[in-house]
Amino acid sequence: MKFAFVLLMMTTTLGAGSAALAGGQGLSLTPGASLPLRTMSDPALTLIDDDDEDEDGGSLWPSSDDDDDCGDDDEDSCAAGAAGDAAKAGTVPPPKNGLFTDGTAPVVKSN
Amino acid sequence: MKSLIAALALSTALVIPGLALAHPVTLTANMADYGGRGAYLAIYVTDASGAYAGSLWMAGGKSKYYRHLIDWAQFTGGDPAQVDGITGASVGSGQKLELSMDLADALFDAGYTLHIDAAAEDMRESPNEIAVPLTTAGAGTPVSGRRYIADFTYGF
Repeated sequence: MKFAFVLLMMTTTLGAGSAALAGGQGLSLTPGASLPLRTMSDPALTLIDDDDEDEDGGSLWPSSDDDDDCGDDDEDSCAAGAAGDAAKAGTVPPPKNGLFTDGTAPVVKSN
Repeated sequence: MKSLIAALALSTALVIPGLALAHPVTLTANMADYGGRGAYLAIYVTDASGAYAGSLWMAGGKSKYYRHLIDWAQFTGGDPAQVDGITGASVGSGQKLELSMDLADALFDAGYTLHIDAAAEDMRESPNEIAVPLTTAGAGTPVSGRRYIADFTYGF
């Protein structure tokens, strides 16, 4: 009986020690007990901006803008002076905006 | 003889101010290899107070796209009449746009700034891609663009 009692004490001691070690260093089923709490204000967290072009303020020019029948690849395929479009250079005098010398018009040297 | 001298003096007096009022200027924009379709460029001028003074050139003929030239469209309401007679084709990636024009002398060294807004299909708009003060000292000095224009120069 004494021997059985000693054996029971030994196994209990060993079991309790193992449980204590596991709880202190190893994985735990209750992470809150072993992992430090992080909050949204944690200064270690950094918001990474993966779009460095936002600062330009530009948006995209969607293809859906192209809703007419003129071919985009060749602008000359559209009739000159189509409704609402600006008159092409050489077809009318430039605007009298005071920037150009009277009687002159800009000339394209290369494009 | 007296009348000849008088006529000569008169013609000289008439011609010299005319020359002083005009500045033959070449604008050159070397496009970057941005890899997209032809870019629309609005080239315009603001005065010393930042107010719109007028347009010099529009590269791109379809007015429905003008709203993507954001600052120019804000100044003008996208009005195609602002660029009647000064509109040409859009400018392709890696290409060069070279224009010559006679500009009023009063534009130089008086606080005016030349701006270029740029945009291309399926790509980002680039208002104020170029902003360069119009000065005689700045002529011939290349200015780098932000996205579509590798460099821009105006020269006499």
